[in-house]
Amino acid sequence: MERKKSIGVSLRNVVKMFGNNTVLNGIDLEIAPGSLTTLLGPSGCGKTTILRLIAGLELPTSGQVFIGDEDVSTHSASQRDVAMVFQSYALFPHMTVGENVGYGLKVQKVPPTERAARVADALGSVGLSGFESRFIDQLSGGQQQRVAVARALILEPHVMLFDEPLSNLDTKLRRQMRDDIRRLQQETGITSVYVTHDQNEALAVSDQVVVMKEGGIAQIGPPESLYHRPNSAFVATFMGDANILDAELLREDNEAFVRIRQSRVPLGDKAAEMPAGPVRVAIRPEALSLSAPGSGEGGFTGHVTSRAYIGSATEYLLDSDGEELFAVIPAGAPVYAPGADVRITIDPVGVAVIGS
Amino acid sequence: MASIAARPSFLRDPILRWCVAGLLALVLLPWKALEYGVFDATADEFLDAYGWSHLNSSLFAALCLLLFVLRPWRGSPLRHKIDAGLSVFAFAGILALASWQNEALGWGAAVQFFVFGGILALALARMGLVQGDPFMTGAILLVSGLVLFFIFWPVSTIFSKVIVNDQGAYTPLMFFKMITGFGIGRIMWNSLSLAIVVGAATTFLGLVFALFAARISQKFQGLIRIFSILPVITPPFVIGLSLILIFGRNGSINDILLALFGDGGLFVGAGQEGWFERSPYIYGFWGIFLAQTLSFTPISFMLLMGMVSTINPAMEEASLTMRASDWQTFRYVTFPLLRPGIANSYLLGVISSLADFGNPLVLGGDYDVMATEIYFSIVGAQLDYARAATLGIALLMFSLTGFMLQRYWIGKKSYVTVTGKGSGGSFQRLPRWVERGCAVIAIIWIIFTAVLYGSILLGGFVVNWGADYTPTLAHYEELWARGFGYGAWPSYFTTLGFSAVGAPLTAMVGLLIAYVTTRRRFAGRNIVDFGAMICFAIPGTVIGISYILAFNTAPVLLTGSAAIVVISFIVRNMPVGIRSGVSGLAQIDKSLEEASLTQRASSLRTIFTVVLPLLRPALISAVVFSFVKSMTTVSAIIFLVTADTQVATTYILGRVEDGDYGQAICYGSVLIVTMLAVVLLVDRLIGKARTERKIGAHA
Repeated sequence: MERKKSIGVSLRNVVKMFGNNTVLNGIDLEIAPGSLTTLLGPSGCGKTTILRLIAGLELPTSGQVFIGDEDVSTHSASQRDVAMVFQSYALFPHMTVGENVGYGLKVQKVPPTERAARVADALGSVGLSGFESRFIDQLSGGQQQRVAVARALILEPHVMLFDEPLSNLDTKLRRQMRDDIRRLQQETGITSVYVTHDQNEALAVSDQVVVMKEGGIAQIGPPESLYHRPNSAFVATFMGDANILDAELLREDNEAFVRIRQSRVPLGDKAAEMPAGPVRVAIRPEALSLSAPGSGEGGFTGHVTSRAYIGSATEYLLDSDGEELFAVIPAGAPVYAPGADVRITIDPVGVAVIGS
Repeated sequence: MASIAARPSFLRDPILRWCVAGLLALVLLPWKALEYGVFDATADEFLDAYGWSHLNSSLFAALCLLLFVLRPWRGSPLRHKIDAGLSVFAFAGILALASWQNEALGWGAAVQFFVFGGILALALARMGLVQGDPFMTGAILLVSGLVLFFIFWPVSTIFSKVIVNDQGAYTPLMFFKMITGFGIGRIMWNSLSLAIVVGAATTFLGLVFALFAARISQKFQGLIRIFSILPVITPPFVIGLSLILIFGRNGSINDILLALFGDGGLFVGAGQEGWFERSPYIYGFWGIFLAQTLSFTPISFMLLMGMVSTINPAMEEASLTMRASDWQTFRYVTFPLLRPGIANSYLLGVISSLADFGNPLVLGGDYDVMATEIYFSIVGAQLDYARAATLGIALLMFSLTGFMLQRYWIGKKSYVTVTGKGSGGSFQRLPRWVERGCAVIAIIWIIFTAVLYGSILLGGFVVNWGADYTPTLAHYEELWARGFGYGAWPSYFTTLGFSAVGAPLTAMVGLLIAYVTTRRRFAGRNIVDFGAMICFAIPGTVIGISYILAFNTAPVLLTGSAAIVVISFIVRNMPVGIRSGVSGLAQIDKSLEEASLTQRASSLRTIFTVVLPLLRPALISAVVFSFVKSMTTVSAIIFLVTADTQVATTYILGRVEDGDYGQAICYGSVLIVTMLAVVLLVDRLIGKARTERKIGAHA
């Protein structure tokens, strides 16, 4: 398979309205060639609309969509070099697996012999060799998913779009498909955009994650930076659990600290631009650790309100002078009963300043 | 190259192809309408009708087309707007010029409307409307155009008829003068009181049969099939006719009563005067009531059957586990759950009764109703268009009100969709006396229906029902044995032909309307939606009167043509087409089409390779049903047929008016048999196709 040169996608000030309802309010987004970008957000945030705008299934109310350096804002779906994997898979029930996968080639009048070869190739790449003559209702959910991916891949599109492709699979299958999609994407180097509302999935597959909220972009960045450096309470709580607390930013000898209750937590370069003063911070629950009161330096005190054993870890609800905290302590650490007094310490890696 | 959407070169630009089509049509097709139709015109008439034989509005169309060929604004950034503007201008210009010159436009002109519509669709799509999709833009324009031209415009003409009088003077108060005029109030009251009673009767009986079929006897499946087919294949006045055979002045019941209680009867002493005389008691309110109840109960049954069988049995079980009795469960759970369906069925019964034309025409006697009075206002000597229009407006308003209530008020109160997934469980027994009551009524009904249909089938084989029961084939010979040019054959062939042309068009347009209204967002969708709803609500006689008023002057002179009969078939059956389109499309996930689009298939190709194959069963049944319904329709076309375009139903009515019941009934039973054959044949074919696919899928 000769590989096309990867090209990027960009949205410039895209607004989309349905009637009087503004679904996207001025989106600017650059998607690098060959990368996999995830659009993540709660339902109704506009992530699927962005995907459909790139596909050409919707046209923007204003603003432009570029694929490569070409403005495709008014091109219909069938005029764009994109392929899409649908949430429902959208496999044609009246066609066989082979006819489904070869549909796009037939539309482009590729001769039957070449078509058959490429269909076999595409099915092989998703591990379904020899399934050509089956009907869709004879396949399992995971197999249908693979057919849908093969059908999108076979066109060797410049851009692949995935609309919550794993939401209909069970947990185990989901992890495997997730890895397969990532592997295929990296092998082919096709620029991909992936919509999901599952932050674990987003963190696992992406080069870049776009967190969306109410028709706008809340934050863009690689997975690690979104998890460890959220810029808002929304992003912090959407990308996993977080304790949102008031704190004070201090600057001493060119180093930045936050004072959280009685703790001083070094920030490194996390708050480079921020002036000293009161701030809000987000603390990951696994960044908290517990020890017996008076057992060491630093930290602050509190007591256990309740706890829940979840196998790989123990979850604690803590109270420190009326402030409620949520902590996840890995299995193996000492266990404290409800009512027990504890010393709470904070790992700086799990702390982010989310605003003043 | 990142995109496949290169700008088309001059020669490959679709606009040029449209222009070529338009110019060819100008040269080859007659611009003006031909008085006797395209096939019966003489060569001279044909030549005379060509646009190029005279100076007329076709010159304007030709100029517009040439302008599009040259397209001097090709390089301008405003080119698409200019294209759109010019095509609208051409459209309006042709209509304006033709009305000014009083030219009746023909096929050549009709093609130009498609050409300029096509160019307009291209231009709008290039401006980015409807996802930049020219085919879909065209489909939306076409559907909107059809709805405006064949529904809104004709309906608006009946309104204009009561604002402007025959002399052309403006008379804004005429409607009120007419509606309060002599006799109109009584007619409206007749119609309404009949409809109210018929609605109640059909709903009650429908509920009884639905309970019986769904809950009491499971051996009732055959009856369900019969009930679903009967109303479709019975011409609207045939039930009325059979009632006359049984209850009429010379009917069987009168004969029996006379033999028992009349002069010299069995129970009357010799020399004594009988207590009974022949009487025409069937004509009037109770006759129409009986005929309509018989005609519309199956519809109510089908509707309530759907309701009854979707009630979640867990609800009744829950009630019983809370120690409610059978009766309490029925009274407080089952019945309230059915209430929206009952209201729905009631309104449907009312609307059907208001719109019914055939039964009152045959059985009405002195009991005048709106649907028939519209007709009587403009046939014969009266020719009172203002009266017909007034009654038409009032009937349309009644019917539309009923329909709106059904759609917006009751539609929102349906519980069935809320209950969600059914949970196994089996239905509990109904209270014993409800079961018995239902069974008794159902059995009486079945016997009665069997007798009525029996009289229809047998009535054609006796000399004169009620007077002379000698078996004879004379009626059949008179109708069918005198060669294809005589008797019933011409109207039979005309009916088959018109229905065969109309049915596929009905299915296609219905599907297109269903598609654009359920799948596409566009400005004016509400108008198309409303137009489609008018299709559902408008009584046939109102279509008849409005078409006569709208299409009897230039530039669109259609009255007297075959085209208008076929068009009225299509409009009358549009609900069938739309409904099967909507329900078929609801089964097809939208993402299937989107998958095809992102595979770079055009929307036209998507429709042909994805939507149509999946819709095939829905489409076939739409074609069959509208074919069959066309054969039985009478209310609209009775206004529109001429001696040349006589169809089966109007021919039969003619026989009824002549008092020739034998022939009427004989023709009626042939129609029923024809339609039954069509329905069963297609049912068989679809059933076969379905099993084949199933087998194929699991091979």
